[in-house]
Amino acid sequence: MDNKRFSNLVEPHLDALFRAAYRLTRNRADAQDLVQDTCVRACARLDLLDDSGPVKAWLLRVMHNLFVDGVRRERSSPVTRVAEAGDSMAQAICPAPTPEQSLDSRQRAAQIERAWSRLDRGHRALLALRAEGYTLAEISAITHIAMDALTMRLYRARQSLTRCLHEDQAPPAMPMEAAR
Amino acid sequence: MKCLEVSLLLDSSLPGSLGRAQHDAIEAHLSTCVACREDWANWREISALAVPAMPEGLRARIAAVLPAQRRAASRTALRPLLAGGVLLAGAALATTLALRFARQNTEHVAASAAGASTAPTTGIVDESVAPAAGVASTGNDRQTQGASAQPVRTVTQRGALMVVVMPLIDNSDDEAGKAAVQVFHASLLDGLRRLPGLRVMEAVAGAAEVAADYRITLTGQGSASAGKFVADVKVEKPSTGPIPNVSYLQSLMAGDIEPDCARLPARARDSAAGDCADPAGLAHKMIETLRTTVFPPDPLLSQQLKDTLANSALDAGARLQAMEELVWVHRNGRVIVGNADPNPLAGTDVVRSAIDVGMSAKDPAHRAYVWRSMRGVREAALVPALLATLERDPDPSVRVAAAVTLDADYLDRPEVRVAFEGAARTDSRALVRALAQRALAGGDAGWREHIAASLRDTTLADAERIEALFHDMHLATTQPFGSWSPGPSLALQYLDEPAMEALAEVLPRAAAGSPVIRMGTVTLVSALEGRDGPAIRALREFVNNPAPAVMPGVIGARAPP
Repeated sequence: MDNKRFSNLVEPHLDALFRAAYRLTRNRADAQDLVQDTCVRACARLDLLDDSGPVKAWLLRVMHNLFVDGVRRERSSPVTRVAEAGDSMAQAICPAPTPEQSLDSRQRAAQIERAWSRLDRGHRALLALRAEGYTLAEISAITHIAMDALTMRLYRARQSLTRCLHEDQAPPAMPMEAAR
Repeated sequence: MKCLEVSLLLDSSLPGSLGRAQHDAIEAHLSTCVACREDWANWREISALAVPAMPEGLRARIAAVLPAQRRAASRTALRPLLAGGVLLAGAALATTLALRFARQNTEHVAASAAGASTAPTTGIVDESVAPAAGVASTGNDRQTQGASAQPVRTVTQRGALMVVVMPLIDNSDDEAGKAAVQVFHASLLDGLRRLPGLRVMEAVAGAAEVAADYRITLTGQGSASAGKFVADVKVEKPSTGPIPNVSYLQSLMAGDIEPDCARLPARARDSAAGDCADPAGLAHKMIETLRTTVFPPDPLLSQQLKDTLANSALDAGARLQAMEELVWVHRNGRVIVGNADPNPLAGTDVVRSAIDVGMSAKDPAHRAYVWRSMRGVREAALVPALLATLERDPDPSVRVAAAVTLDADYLDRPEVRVAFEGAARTDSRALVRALAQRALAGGDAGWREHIAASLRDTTLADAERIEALFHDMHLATTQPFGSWSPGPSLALQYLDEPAMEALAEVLPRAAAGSPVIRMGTVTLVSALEGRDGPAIRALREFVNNPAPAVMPGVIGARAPP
């Protein structure tokens, strides 16, 4: 695979890849890692790709597989993600709040972040792609989920998100950052 | 309007495209259904979160890492050839190559140790692999590494991946917490050493960077007062230069220092099973995560799943779950190692097990699943079973699955063509006959005509009129292992206006009688995005404003399981 081919086929989609990766991970550093890993995996198979084919969907599929399959077994583990300082949902939700708003927003943002990290990765991927504006047909092509099953899964994903938010009423077991 | 219907319509409609009646119905539902209102409010909140612009340095970072990745891929491709050559050439050459590998892989470690002889506790301990001839041995105890105690990549461990576990970073508050973290760390190391195909090395504090396939960093913290501990595990491909590390996994696991595992079901009390959130149990979970999702597929795990598939004492569902798991595990390996991983369902044992399930399962869905999954395997042993299924299985959906796989993989065999000729003439189901004719004719023109003709054929039952189109839509999004699908239904794009009109006429009636078709209707219309015409507008109108008399209960008549 030559650099020109990579430049022609992949680089035009890097912005879209990063946006999707950020939706998936809610974290700038992880999103960059995910995009990089996607490019590395894609690079190995780029020679097989038809130039006129759906390159963007293919790249998003590689990313989706990395994100969902890559930690498939992790879903049964009591895993939480440590938020990066200065890169949390709080900033995304409320960029310039009053002090009172700031407190509420930070609490809400932290709650959403915890719920999002607990959400099944497959559900997270579907919601992230939908939030990014991809249609059902596009998401079906990216995830290889038949469209009739996809609509049901999206429905369940939203239910799961609400459930995770409800379960978040209790404080987390022991936030490492706070303990430090 | 039901909850699921609201979800389907909102998901499948473009912004602003909802009809007035449908919009009002959704509003009415949301005003009374607290669950839906909350689901959608939460979802909208998540959707509205800002996404930052792509960092400026990412493009350069990727440009920097790709050439290195290509070099690594080249090395990986050469390694088996070198190892194979070693086996043929004899022990003397093997020793030479082993030394060469050792030098290449420890170059900067050796340089560091030689240039800084007074450096504090610099070292790597290899505890999993016998040292290669001519290289200083490493013991089972942690030891300080000098220039003579270097990590080695032995050619006798063909295909082995080097895993370096970095020194434990323990931020525990007290001794009990520290003990929990150390148990986690020790269990993690122990579990890694038991995995086949890995060379596990433990780095000592201050060690220089060493070339490795995976670097695992564990940061732990425990607190007796909280009764908790956390373990932050990071797995990455370490950089050997200015190239950034490639991150494989980072997860923060939280557990109890002394969990009450006795309250768990008997099966879960053994922490080795990984169900109890004690340090050893969580370490076991992490090992399973690494084993199944980070490291390339290991033979033992594959064998366990194959054994489950082969176990005729289990019911078909459990056996097929193992089969699905086998594909998943290898699909991950495929992501990690590229195209090197073959289809895990190929091979005599798996094929024999699959045939057993496919021929004996009582549930037609199980039998159909087997034959669909065997698409792409291309094993001769499958042909008689597929032919028998095509000719004699009483369920048309199973015969369809067999026909699809025979067409995809075995059409060059005379006996398959003979069977298709028979099915094309005599099968009781039109879809099977059409698939057989499609296989014999080659090309899709006849098939597309069959889809269109079926839609127009008013002598058929409604479900049969749309059967071929729905089969085509489903097949387009279910591809065999390792294949890439172009997306939903190509045939849909070729339907002419009369066929579209027939579809618009038959679909509402067919949807009224089948939840599956009701679901498919929404997705079908979604797949028609970008096309227009009277029939397509009628279909959109039907989806957006279903008339209760025509479509009673509509999509959400049944709550999801």
